[in-house]
Parts: sequence; structure tokens; C-alpha cells
Amino acid sequence: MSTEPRPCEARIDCAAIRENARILAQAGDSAALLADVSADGYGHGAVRSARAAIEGGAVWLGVSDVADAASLRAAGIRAPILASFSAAGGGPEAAATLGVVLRGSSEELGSLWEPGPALYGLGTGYPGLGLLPAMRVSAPVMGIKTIERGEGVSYGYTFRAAERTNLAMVAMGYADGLDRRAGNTASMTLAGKRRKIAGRVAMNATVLDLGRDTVRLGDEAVLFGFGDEPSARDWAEPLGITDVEAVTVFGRLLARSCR
Amino acid sequence: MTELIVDLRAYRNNLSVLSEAVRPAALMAVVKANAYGHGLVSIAHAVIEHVVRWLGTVDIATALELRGAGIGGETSVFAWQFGPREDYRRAIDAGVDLGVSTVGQLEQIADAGAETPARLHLKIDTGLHRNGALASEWPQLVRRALELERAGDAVVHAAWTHIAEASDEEDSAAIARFHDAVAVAESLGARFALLHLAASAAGFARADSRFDLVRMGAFGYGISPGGGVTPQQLGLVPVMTLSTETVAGADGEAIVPIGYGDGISSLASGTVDVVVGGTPRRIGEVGLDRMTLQGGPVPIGEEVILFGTGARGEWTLQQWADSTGTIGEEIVNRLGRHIPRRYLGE
Repeated sequence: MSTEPRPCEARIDCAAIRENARILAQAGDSAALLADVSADGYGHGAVRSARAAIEGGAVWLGVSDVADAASLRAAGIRAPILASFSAAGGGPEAAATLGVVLRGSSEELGSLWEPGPALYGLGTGYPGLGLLPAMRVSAPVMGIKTIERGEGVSYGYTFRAAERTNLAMVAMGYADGLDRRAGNTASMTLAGKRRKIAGRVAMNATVLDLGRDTVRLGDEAVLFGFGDEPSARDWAEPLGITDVEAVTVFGRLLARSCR
Repeated sequence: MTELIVDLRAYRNNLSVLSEAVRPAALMAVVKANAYGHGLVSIAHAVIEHVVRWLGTVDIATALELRGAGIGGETSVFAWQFGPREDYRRAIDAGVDLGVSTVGQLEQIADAGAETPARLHLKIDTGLHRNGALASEWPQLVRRALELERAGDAVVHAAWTHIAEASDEEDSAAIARFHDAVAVAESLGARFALLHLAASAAGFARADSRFDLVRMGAFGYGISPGGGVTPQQLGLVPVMTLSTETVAGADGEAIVPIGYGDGISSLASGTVDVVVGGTPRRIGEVGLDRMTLQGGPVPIGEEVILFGTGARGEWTLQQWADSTGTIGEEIVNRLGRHIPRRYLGE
């Protein structure tokens, strides 16, 4: 038996980040690829993303401030780092000590190629390159039940069953980064089909409408992922946000594991 | 630097107001999700000093974290959302009260091999349709729990539910279903020491929802239910203030170094005001690690208050929530753990 802390998770594919870096480094011609690992690598983990990107051919790393750069250095990463602003963790002197260049300083950097979130297969900038998604978000089924026609689900009963239907409660809510606007709008993939969220997203739980289908406890509901699974963009667009924002928020809030 | 200031004096004030409001029922302080982003252990210790004897966590891992942080047996810790392969033994031996919804969970508890009996709160589903036993499943859940009690594996301590707050009529119907379920359980031989049903809004508003214990999350943090009701009207003080400081960007212009990568929703773009050096400024665009402000440049090193109590002209969570189409709980829960928390009144 094992304790399951918060069993919803973000799975990170470092090989995809490495491959994306390889593709982008080639596409960048002779310019040096800068791997942007700001905001903890857009939620993928700054250190693992930096390592994977360097393996794939990135030369520079980009971060927000000198404190971010210091954590990369503490993890043993020696690549040149470009920081966007001087803030927490110090200004020019601290930057110099860490071998970090501040944007806008007079240092000559040569030609840099900065595709930003494309490193994680995100954004709309480079559709033809075949970049791979690097994060998959899922949550396990924690409860199953059947309700009758007319019965409501979750706060405010904003969902009412049109007929007798099966429900699955998954252990993920807005405290995990699942947007409240997804209630009665977005779907997750569970037992091979898209299942719409029934009613409001709660803080730690969300209910999916299964119709006549059944699932088992512990089955995995997937919000977005790899290969044939829905993309982060499929998830984000109906919510009126970018895939970049959706992925970054999940990555910063969820437990992460590596593929 | 960016920091999240948590005023424990405000939190204690709110607990006092809420204790008074629900009397003679007791108060459970809900500290799930890192105490709604406020910091689990600091909030839990503030609760204990305040002599609230119940903490609610959702999951077992958080309950064990509290026990590990020195929250002793005089404080009851309650968890109610379990995975299919949960470590019940550790939970029971750490004296964690378990909110049980299914016979399957009871079987796992019986087989856990714990040293002491598990203290159970049996959950009836009165219409919310998340966890909890349906009325058709309830007698079986109660019977099996009583068998565990007779075998010395468990103590059937409480019956509880969770209501939808869809309307007063719907809530009345749910309360009636709860009474029915308790009567059914008693007819089967259950003797509950405690009954609990209400969370923040209903517990504050309706005496008939309070029973013995009211579970308060949002209101404790000074987060009001929306719909135009402010925390002040309820006698509550917002606990959290989020602030940062402008820094120098590449071209020497000032940057507000907080963005959606820190948990600020992009929906705040063009809709929310922040206070910069004492003056309100509308947010322009929220980016990954920074946001722009409308109305021209600002100085470097200037304090920016994103939200707080309103005492210095900053918006409250209520105003943010109303302007971005959500509730205060979602805003505080999205703020990443990487943002340093600073506690006042520790």
C-alpha cells in the first residue's frame, strides 16, 4: 500500500523537450538557440528542461531573474544564461558572480534564436516543425455513481441529468489548476471516450458524465497529453486561454513525474 | 520582491466571528490545498492557538503532514477523499478521522491492520452527487460500519454530508434527506456523537444547517461568497495580500514581475486595477512572468499591491473575482508555492 498524496499529476516528457530543441536548433540556422526556462520551465521544471534542451542543442538558457539563474547554477548547469530583469536574487553584481548576462547590458551576445514556449511544443509560432507536446495532465477516478433523471450535480446544481446517467468523480479541481470555467464546458478522455464535465468544478473534485458507460475506481481521466490524446490547445481554447497559460499553471500546481 | 503576506491576526479574528456565528455548534477549520494557498502549517498552528479543535484536509497525505508538524491528538484531523489504494493504516494510527463513502473503503479500513480502531464519519449523499453513499446504498454502509465497530476495528463517530447551496429550497430538501439518513442509521443501531453538514455560506446563514459542527474554509480566510456580499458585511477580514515591486527591464523601463506563470489569470488583463505607489493603475496585459500597466511608465522599485484588505486602496479578492468571472477561492489557490509567504501576527 502506498499513500497517494495528490494523485492528479503532470507527466513531463524530457525526450520531447530534447527533440524539440534539436528541431528548433536546426530551424534556427546559424543562430544560437536560447531555451527559455522561465516560470520553472513553463511549469515543466526549469532544471530538467534546461538539461534536455542543452542535450538537444540549445546553447543559451533564458530566465526571468537572477534568482532563477542561481537555482540553475546550484543544480550544476553551466550553460550561459540570459536574465530578463534584475530583481529578487540581485542585480548586476550577483549576475556577474553567477556568470549571468542581464538583457539590455552592453555585452555582445552574437545572434540568438528565441522560440520561447515552442521548446515545450506550445504556442502558435511554428506550426510546420512537428514539435512535440511535453506535458500530460491526468486525474484518477475516485468515485462512481448513478443518478436519476432531473437530479443535480455539484454546487448550484448547474447540471441536471436529462436521463438516468452514470457519473465519475475525478480527484482534480480548481486548486490543481483546473479552470472553473471548464464546468459544463470542457471534456476529459476516460475509458476511450471524451466525457463532459457535469456541473461546477469544485476545489478538489470534478464530476464527469459517462452516460450509460461504466468505469472503475483508479481509471485515469486525461485532460491533454501525448500522441493521439487531446492537445493542450484542444483543452485551452474553449476556456479562452492559451495552451501556454494552461500548461504553465498546471505544471506549477500539480505533482510532476517524468515519462 | 513578490510576496504573499498572510495576516494571522485577521485569520484569528475571522475564526472568532465564525465561532460566535455558529454557536453552540463547533467549528472545523478547513485547511485543504495548502490552506487555500495561505500555508498549511502556519494556518494550522494559528487555529490551534485559537482553540478550534477540528482541522479538515480532504486527503490523508495532508492530514499526516499536520500530525508530522506537531498537531497533536487534542486536535481532530479529518480527511474524506481517498484513492483506490490508500494507506489507511498510517492514517488510523496517526489518529486521522476518516470520512467514508463506500463499503469498499470500509473493507480496506478493516483490512488495514491498524493498532487502534478507525474513527469514522459516514457520508450520505444528499444531492451534490460527488462522494457519499446514495440513499439506496446507505443502510448497507451503516450496517457494515457497525460490524466493524463490534469487531473493534472502528468507531462510528459521525454522520455527515455536503450540500449544493443551489437555493434555500434545495438546501432544505438536502437537510431533510440528511435527517432521514440519520434516522435510518439510528434504526439500524448507530449512535452518532456528531452530525455535520454545512460549510461556510450555509453555516453562516442557516441555524438548521449547523448541527454539531460547521466546516469553514473560505470564510476563515476572509473570502466572501460573492453575489455582492463583501467580507466586511460578514464581519470578516481578508487574510491575504499579494504585492510585488517594479524592477528594471532590458531597456531600463520598469517591469511588474508577476504573471500567469505565478498564477495570475490572464483574464485580469484590462479588467483589474492594482495599486502602484498609492495610485490605482489598470493592468494592461498579463504575460508569463510579468504584466504591463495602462497609463504610461512607472518608476523602478515602486511597491505594487495586487489585492488585499482594501486599506490602501487596493482591490479585494472579491473585486478581482467579480471582474474576472470567478470566485476568490480560485484566485488564491492558483498562486504557486514558489511565491514566498510572510506571516504577520505569528
